[in-house]
Amino acid sequence: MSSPFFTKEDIIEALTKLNLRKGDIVWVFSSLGFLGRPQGVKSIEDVCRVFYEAIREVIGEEGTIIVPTYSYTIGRNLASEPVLYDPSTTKAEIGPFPEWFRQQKGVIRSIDPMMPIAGQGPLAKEILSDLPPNSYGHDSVYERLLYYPKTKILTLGLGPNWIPFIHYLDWLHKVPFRYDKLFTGAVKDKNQTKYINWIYPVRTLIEESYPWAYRAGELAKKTGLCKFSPLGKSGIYACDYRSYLLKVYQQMKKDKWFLAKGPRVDVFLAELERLKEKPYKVDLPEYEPKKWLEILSSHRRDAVSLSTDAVLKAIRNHFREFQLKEIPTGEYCLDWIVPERWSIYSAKIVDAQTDEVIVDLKDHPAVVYSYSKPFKGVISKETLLKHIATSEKLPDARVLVNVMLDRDWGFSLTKEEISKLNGSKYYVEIESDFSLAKLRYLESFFEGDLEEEIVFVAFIEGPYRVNEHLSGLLAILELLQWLKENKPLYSVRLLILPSPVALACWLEQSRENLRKVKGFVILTMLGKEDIITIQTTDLKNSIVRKLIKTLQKNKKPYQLLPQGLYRPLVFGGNPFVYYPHKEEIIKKMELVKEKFGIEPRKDFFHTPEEIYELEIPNKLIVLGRTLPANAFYFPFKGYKTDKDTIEDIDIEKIIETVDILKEVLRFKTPEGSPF
Amino acid sequence: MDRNLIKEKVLSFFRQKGLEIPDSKEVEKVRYLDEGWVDSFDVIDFLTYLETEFNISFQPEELQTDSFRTIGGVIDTILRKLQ
Repeated sequence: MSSPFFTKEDIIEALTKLNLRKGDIVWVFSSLGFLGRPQGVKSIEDVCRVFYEAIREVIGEEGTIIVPTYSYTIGRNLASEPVLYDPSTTKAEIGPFPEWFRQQKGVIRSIDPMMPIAGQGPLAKEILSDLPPNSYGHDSVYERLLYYPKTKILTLGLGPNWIPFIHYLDWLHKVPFRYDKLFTGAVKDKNQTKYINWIYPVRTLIEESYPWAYRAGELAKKTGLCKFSPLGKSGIYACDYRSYLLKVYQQMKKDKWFLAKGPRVDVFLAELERLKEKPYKVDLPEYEPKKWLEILSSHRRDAVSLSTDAVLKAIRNHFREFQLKEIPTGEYCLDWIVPERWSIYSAKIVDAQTDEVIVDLKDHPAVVYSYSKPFKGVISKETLLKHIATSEKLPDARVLVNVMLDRDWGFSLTKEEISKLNGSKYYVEIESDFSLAKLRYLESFFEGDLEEEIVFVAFIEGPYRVNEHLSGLLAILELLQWLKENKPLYSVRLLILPSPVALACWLEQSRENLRKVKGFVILTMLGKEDIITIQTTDLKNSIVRKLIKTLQKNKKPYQLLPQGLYRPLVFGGNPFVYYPHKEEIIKKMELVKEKFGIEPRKDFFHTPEEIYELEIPNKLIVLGRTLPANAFYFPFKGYKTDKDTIEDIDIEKIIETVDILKEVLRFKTPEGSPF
Repeated sequence: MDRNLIKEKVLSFFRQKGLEIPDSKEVEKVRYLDEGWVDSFDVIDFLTYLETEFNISFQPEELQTDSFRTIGGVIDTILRKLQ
């Protein structure tokens, strides 16, 4: 048996044998307990101190110690119960040494609310400050360390498979089993609390994607990139950071699964199999507007979900002119990131003392927030109320809440249900799941006499939302039937989208053709009110002008509103994950290629300027029928609640609006030029 | 030695410390350090107990694996050494 006891001098000797020198940068991974115990110490803090002092003695004051102090804080953040990442107080959750180290004098800690890193020494600040909002992207700590040739990885009591850059390389190679995910939360930076967006590349939860760097560790040992020195019951490895990273980078060019457990699988299929959700089927009879609205209304239609896929498929079965388009989770679309698929299995609130069921998803499809996180537990009434939304305008309605961007869990209750919450403790259960999938939408194109296009858009998010969204869907289907028989003056594109993020994806994929588009007309709320409402930022837009002239000719009442009152979340409310120093990062991406042969990833960011250059906002027109803008129930009674049902929907009003659009599509100006 | 017997002896270290350890299959997935069954300072006592109880000596590589951080991984390592 090897001795479990050693001295500080033994540690210094081991580190010196591993060629650690004055001025080195050392990245320290540790599992100190498995080494044994320095003689005479009485607490884990003393163990940490002995190791720290030994490392410092070998690398000197001119050396820099870097220690991962991962906290995963932003992953736990909830919109209704925020969790603050404070670099000076948030605990490190990866063992005693990181937690001890971050509290030492002169240690600074990165503003990364997921995977913070602490450092001490002359280079700590330039390595850890002003990081971009992505734990593993370009210009992250893992990339910055490449520029320092004296960087070593030290694994104390661990193997050489403990490599800091594992997910940086996964990200660079865009491995199929991980995807970028947006998190929001609060951080404390220079004594100010800031709300930030953060990207973390999460892994799919299939067994095969589990991080597995043993092959890399073996390679490093075999090629001499990592050296071992025994200490106590185990020992210390020291690896040359840059050579190790570049070696694995090259290996991953041949095998993207090199740093995962494997074996290689079809991740989309494997993720689907992981879910408890059963296959979802939607049957639509021969097209009949009212009947279709009735059927579709009851189905959940969340942005990326099996039910939405089934709805789109059912529509396409009747209208083969549509093509089904798809874009995977984690892809960047303008300033959005394609979300995960959301699956909901059950959701309920039960009075913990009386066992009375307050609400159950089985009885009300809109009772749970769309994209709710899973939760299970007994909580106080006070906490429960933080997770409940209610309609101020309609006491008997449930508001439709989506927490895709502001992650949370929660329920929509009527005022009456809230009044029944007389207990002090509640059992809450939300069983939901998030998975890698593909966002899907439908697209159809009809060539007109002119190359210039008008794009008509309908969203189908649900359940319910019959006037807000499905009236727009009917308008699209009516237009499609007319277009099959009539060639329009302008070319027409029809889009049926599950959420605004899908519009961002279509725009991203159609960048090259956007100059041909004269207007994007979002069709919404067409089935109830009398006044046709046009929301636009550009009254000079030719489509807007033609719409107005057509409405005037037909003596239809209309109102013009500026964008922003109820426009969909296409520009303005979206995540805006912008990189603060884009030019600088671009230079660094070029440099990393030039110096180390690393092919940069270029798909991951946009700036507001870039997006506004596309001039989409000026072409965006929201067309609906609403109450006057100052009405109490504006835009219509039941908006964004479960009261937005087929009741009171007037199909004739939808058809009438479609007739106006047909006229616009044939509209020729006297001068001969259509625009 | 039978795997179940090894498991019993491994778990008895924690039971002697007063921990209530369920006798289920799931227990093998437990990461005993993360779950606080033993802390970093005392983990060496756990290793010494195992080496004495089974009359074995762990190699550094065995202690460095991720699987050794789970109860199931510890049992598998001991079983391998005894065979």
